[in-house]
Amino acid sequence: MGLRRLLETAVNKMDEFGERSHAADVAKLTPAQREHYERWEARGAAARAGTSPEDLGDPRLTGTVLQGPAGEVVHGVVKAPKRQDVIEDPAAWEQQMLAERAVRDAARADYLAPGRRPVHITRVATRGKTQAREVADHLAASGLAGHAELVYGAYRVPDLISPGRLGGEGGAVVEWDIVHAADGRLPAAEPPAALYLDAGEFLVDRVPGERAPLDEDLALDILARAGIEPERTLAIARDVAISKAGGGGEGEGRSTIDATVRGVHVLVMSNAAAALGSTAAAPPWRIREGPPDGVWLEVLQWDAIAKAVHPVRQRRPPLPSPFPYLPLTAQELLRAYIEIVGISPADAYCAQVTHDRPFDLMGRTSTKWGVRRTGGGPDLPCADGKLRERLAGGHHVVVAYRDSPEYAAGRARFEAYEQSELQAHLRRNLGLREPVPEPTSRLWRTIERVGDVVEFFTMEPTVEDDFVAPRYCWPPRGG
Amino acid sequence: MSSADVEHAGWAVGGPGSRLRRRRNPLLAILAAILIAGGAGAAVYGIVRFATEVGPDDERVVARGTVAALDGPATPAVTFAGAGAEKLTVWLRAGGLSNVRSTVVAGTACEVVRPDGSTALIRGSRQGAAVETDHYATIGAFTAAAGRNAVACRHVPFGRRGRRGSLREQRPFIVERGSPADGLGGMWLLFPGIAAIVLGVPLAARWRAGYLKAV
Repeated sequence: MGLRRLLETAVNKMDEFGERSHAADVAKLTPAQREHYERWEARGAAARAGTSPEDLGDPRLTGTVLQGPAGEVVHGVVKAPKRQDVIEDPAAWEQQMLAERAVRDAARADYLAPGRRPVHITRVATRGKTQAREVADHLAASGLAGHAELVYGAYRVPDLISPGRLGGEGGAVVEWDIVHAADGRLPAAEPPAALYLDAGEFLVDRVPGERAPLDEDLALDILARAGIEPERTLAIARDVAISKAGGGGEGEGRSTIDATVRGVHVLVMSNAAAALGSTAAAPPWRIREGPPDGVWLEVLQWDAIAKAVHPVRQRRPPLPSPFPYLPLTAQELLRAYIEIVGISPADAYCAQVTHDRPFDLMGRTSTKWGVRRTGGGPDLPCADGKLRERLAGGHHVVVAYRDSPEYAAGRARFEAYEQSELQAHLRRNLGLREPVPEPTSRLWRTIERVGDVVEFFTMEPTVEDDFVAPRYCWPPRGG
Repeated sequence: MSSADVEHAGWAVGGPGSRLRRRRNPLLAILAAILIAGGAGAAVYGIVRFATEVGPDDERVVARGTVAALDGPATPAVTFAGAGAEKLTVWLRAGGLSNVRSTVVAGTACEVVRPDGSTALIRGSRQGAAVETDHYATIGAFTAAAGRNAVACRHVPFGRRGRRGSLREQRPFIVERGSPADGLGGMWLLFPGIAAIVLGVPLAARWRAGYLKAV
């Protein structure tokens, strides 16, 4: 009897230890991992509650963004059918694109917000080095800088134009999209006031374990403190840089073309310049996690859809589309969100197709597994009318706006559209605002520096360093 | 059109109402053009000179002989009349695979006997880097003296025993006026030419990108 009690106690202790250890492991998960874990837990709970395997669905689609036919192909539930009929002729491609778009527009019509404002996306060409100044000048020349109530936002188009070109983006063509509701020409206006926040600077007061801010969290906080309303805000635009790295021969690291966020541009009407300037003084600032009260910040997955409809970056999306119910471009998804939620440009702070964490554009550059290339695609039209090769980027669609009950109803419509028409969950697996990690110790930093020196002289890569510092808050206070 | 949603509006600056104009510095264009065109010209001329000048030239050959095979009988020394203290190069005629050729070159030694009785030993394995053409490779260089100079060459053991088969045969050699580097003059045009192109391309890109000027 005594032995049995002893054994029971030991087993209970082991169970308790297992529970504690599991809870500790779960606590260490990043938000994206945690989300994934919880979806699997929910699936397990449903199975235990007696839900049939048919109702549970294929386990390979658990927690994925894409469901439905596209999800099944992308996640390997079914094999992608062999394509024989892909249109190569540009004119025929365009005709097919418009025909498929008309069908999607008809499906979307039931969800559109009543009394919505028009959405125009004007694309302009700039040079990389002077892009922000050029966009500001264009906003002034087009008169939009004087009518922020007509502007949803502006963003650097996250595509790499002429990927085979030597050198960086300084002298290269970089396009910007201006998303607005102006139907006609406006008189020229004063250039906007601009603020640039460098992601490498310590601007947000964070300690290890707290959530890192999103670029828009920081920009919106400054705008809120400055009392600058969306009617005077032209854009919050992440500064996306696309650079080539690595390469080399056998055994060396493969080459990458990385889209990274270097900072964020804040563009406001000239009459808000003083308020913006004075508020942005004396960092770091202690800001809350997430956007300020009364502001909705939406982040949607685009790349997950792009994998299905635009599998090879440097080519046109294949048409007829394998999944014609999905948007063909990130701009179509952005427009759909604005039109379904019914966002007024007067309430909008930003509308962007952009990136978050470093993103390798060399992925998905061939239909063959493991092949990475920049060429092989057609020359496609650019904003200046010239044809050039391009690698299509874009990971997330980001929209920030002053919230209202009407928009909450609009979001419910978008959710219905997303689930019924797109058969997707576009807010899944975003991995936003990850906790700020503990910085490495001085000793470890010294070891890393020694490793760098060794690597320089031996040309042999030592340890792969895939650490990405959180933006605006690194190194954290107390680190 | 490649998207139903996007209207292309041209360059951001320079349109109606724009306060900025893109300017390009013509001096930068001229400099870039000079560097690229000059560099390309020099590089091409350097390659042509290199291709035509490297290797022995019949007009400069002063003697022809045979390298004795390893463990074989000695071959007669070749003689020539030297005009004074002048540099000469011994070239071995050897084709074939590069590794075999390297062994043959390294396994060749020549003895020079000058009119005053002084000697010089040239070894293919001691010359640093051999200059090679399709059919010839240098064994080394020596300074001849005025009068009758004699050169005798033979293959000597080099490398692993199993790889010495190629040294057991006779090969022709020639003695030529000049040093091994005489035919490499094209390099002095090729490398600066490439450097000029490397400098010129970013300058051209800089010119093309231009700069913004307020109007």
